[in-house]
Amino acid sequence: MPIAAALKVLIVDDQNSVRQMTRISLEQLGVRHIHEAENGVKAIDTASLQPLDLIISDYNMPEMDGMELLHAVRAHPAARKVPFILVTGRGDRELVVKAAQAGANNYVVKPFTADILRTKIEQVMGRLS
Amino acid sequence: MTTLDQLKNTFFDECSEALQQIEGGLTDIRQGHGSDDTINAVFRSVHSVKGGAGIFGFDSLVGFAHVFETVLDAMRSGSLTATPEIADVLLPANDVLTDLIAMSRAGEAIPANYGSESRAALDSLLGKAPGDEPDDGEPAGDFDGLDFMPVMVDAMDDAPAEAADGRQTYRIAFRPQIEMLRRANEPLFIIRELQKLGELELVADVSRLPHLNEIEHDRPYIGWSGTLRTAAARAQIEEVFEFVTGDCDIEIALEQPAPVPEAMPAADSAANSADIMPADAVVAAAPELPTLQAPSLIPAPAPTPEPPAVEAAARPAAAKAAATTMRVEVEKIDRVVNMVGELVIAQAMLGQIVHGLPEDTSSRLTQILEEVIHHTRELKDSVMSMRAQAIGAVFQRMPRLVRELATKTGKKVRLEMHGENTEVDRSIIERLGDPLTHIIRNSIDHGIESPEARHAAGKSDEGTIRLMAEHRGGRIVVEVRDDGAGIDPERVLKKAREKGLVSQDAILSEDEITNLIFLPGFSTASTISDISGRGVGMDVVRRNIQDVGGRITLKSERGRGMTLQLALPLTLAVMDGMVIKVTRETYVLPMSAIVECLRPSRSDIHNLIGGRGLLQLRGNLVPVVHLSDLLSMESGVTDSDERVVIIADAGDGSLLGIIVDELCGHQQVVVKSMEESYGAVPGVAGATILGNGRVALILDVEKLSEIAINQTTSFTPVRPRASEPVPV
Amino acid sequence: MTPAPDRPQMPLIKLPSTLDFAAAEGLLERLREAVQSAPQLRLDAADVVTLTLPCAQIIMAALSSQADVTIQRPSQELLDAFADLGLDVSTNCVADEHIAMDLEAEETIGDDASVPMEAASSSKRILTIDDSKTIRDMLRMTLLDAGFEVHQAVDGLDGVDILDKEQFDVVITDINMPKMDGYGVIRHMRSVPEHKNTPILVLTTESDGPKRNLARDAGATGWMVKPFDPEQLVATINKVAP
Repeated sequence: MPIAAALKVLIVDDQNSVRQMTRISLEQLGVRHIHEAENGVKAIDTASLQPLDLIISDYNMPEMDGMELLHAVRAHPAARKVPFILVTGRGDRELVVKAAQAGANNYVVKPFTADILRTKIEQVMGRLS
Repeated sequence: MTTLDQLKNTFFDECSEALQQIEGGLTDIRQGHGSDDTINAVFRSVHSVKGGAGIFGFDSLVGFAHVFETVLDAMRSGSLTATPEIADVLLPANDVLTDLIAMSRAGEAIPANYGSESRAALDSLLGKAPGDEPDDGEPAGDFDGLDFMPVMVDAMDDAPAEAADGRQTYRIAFRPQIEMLRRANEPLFIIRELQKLGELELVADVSRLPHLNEIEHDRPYIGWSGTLRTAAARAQIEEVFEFVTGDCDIEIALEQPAPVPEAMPAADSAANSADIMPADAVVAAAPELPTLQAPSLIPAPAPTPEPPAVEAAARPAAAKAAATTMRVEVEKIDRVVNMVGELVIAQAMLGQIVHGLPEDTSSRLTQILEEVIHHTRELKDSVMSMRAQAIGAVFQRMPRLVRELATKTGKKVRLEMHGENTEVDRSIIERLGDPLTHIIRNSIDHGIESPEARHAAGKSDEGTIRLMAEHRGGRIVVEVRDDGAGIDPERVLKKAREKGLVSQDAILSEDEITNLIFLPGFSTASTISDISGRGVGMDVVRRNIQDVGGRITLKSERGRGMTLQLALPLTLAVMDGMVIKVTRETYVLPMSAIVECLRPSRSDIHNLIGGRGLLQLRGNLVPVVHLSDLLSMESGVTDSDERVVIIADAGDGSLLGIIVDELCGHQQVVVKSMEESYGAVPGVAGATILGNGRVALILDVEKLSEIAINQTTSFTPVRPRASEPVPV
Repeated sequence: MTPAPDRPQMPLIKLPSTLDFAAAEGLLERLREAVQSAPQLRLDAADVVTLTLPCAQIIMAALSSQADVTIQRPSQELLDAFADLGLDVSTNCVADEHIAMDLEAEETIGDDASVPMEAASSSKRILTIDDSKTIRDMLRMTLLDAGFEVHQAVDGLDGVDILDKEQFDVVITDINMPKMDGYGVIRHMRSVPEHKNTPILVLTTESDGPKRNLARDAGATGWMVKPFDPEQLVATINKVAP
């Protein structure tokens, strides 16, 4: 049963406003250690240097999109086992299928509330306390 | 402001950038050079707007953006081809999007059918009838009928060793090989690094330690095993052993009741059997702990693209892109600009002091001061360039303006833009928008003819407005040129006479006539269209330009078109100034306004009644005034031959000679605005602090010449060409 | 088990201030001789600042051999080091009220096993070898900030010249250098007793896997990736010489 306050989570999205909203949702769930990255490359840097318990990444980003990031994370020795939740839009059904194949742990459709996020995280990591 | 409000602002700022992206990309597509990347970029921008709008609850925006996005998605996937015609539908759609964003930002209520025309056009692109069910506004939810099973992460779930503090226990065992000692790696330090990660309990196994007589000092005989209780990730533990992997037998295993430990890729034990792990170490070579179950769908795994290649390729590209720009708050840069300004002042003061010192003390100081001046100049240049923005920021509003006006007036107009990347100081960019807008409005309203009229005149149906910016000789030159009808001098002259701006029998050259439109009170308001006829005349435009220290000139060719040229200073913050003295007071004149300086002999100046004079200058007569008179000061030495006359540009192409007592030199001055404290004073452009620490006012030459004109009832400035006597 | 400190025939062996591999060899010899001649001996450990594995092994071996070994005036660092290594010497140590860093009061009865070494200074001595002034300056700044004593060499050959005269706690070297490269430096160091066991860190760029392996083969202790993060640099040094 993971302790929310002990979790280290990385949010990846090129839009600052979206990152902040996701941060707020996470904080509402009790998460305290939140990293942010504005693109896939910075996300990989963080994931390879910091111990992470979860990555929540948007799909739609320039230069390296969420799927590419997922592949890169799953191939990186230090980060390959970190749980990965892909944030998708309403029309991205095919994408979710591909993400599953690539090793994503879960997906969430935006916009999402803190409760939805909690459900998705708990589906992957067990009940948050 | 609540956090949510701040985030909304951030979102709207992001929208501004997105809208620019979209406009630019769609324009490229319209002009036929859009690529797949262009389409993708536009798609992403619309998608970002939609996504953020959804998060912040701007439903109308979401709805429209969704349709917009769907069209772009179809273009992305190839089911719609990116043609100029489609761009012509999408560009107005972007305008609607812009409006929706603006209304959302302002908190205005959005009429239910706002943009419905555009939406219908988008829908028809998608093959949907206008009445089709819009699929927006639904709450986002999971996909129906999708077999995605969330993949549990076991390690976190089952580890019983994890107590309330979120830490886990690892079993660690390690035994050095001889190579490790040969490379001067020291187990003590490794152990100490492990201790930093958490609670370490290690027991040394000395069972293999031989008798003193047999021991060899550089062979390792001791191994260790035990537990580490830590919150650190496994990767961090492995990192401790980074240098000795391969020179040691190492095992790190997460302690679990189910005995399925993970094997660390352990050493190639080149060592002999005497050095193998002691018996109490954990058993090696267990299967990999399956922390990720294969998802329950998909029998055939899709071929994954080379992840390392992706990573490696993305990294340099992204690194390069990341190196290109960085977002910095404007206030931070302005603070730095201010500080540099202070530095310039302080350095000027230092210069004064140094030059006042005796030669022997000062030479080394002077040298160093030279260096400081040099560095300060470079620093100033760098900082000013930070404030510089591409003028495209102002230009990018124009295409939409042109589109709308063209539609409203029923004319066909094309806008060409050049030099969007010309960098202009932020302070000037902000002041350019209105004048440019007005000039272009004017052009379309009065300059460009209707398609029929153009056709009749043998021109193409579509008129062109060419907007151009470039650096020229220390200034920024912005040009607006149209191929319309130009200014009709007869009409203008008639109008000016009607309004009493020009006497009935004055003879004016064509140039002079066209410049009449700059006079206050003159506005081509005979047909007040709702676009340009709000009483804003070209005089206001010129005022705006002059206020930033710029100049505007107009050239017109009847029937062929009109060109308006704006010449602007590079920056408002620091400028080159000429320091002058009059009646023991010190002032600064902007170098940009100064054409030349002379010390004429008494005979060169014809004095007229009232203290005015005319100066013979290379065959022309230039009016001269005493600065002391203009400033209503007690005049200084009026008769001296030492006076200096500064020939200045009076702003509309004419020259004015300003008599001062002394020229003190020219230097860079930091312009400090006084308007906040004192309001705008006509004739004063600002103030600065000189090297001697004293304040000097910076004079506005063009305004001064206006004052000079007005001080005599019918004093009109004389163009350099004419040599007629001045009417009194 | 504590022999009275005034028994004249008990040889006293003084543990030198920096007890490393080279010193360990000498110590080992002394101990063997001493144990053969008299089964009881004392190690005076007042000056020992660091303890390395070989020395620890030797002392443990001596303690558990037929000899009775006492460690007299053990410094706290020595005891800590033993504890960290999981080795228990507590019963063989003798505290002394004139403890612990009292370098003046020396009772040297018998042989002196000390090998001439640099007196222990409180800050670690580091030698940086790089032909790039920028890198040298950056290293210097970071290391000085972290409290180290920094010496510099501008090339491999320059570095070797310095190493012939002085000892260091860590040597950081670049690989590509004009007159003598990093491999040359490493090979030289590993071939002389004074530096055989001095930790060597090589500076590499990220993609230099093969070069890193070559350096390791030559005897490098570890590596640092350029451009380096200052915290990372200090952490790495702590891994090889805290």
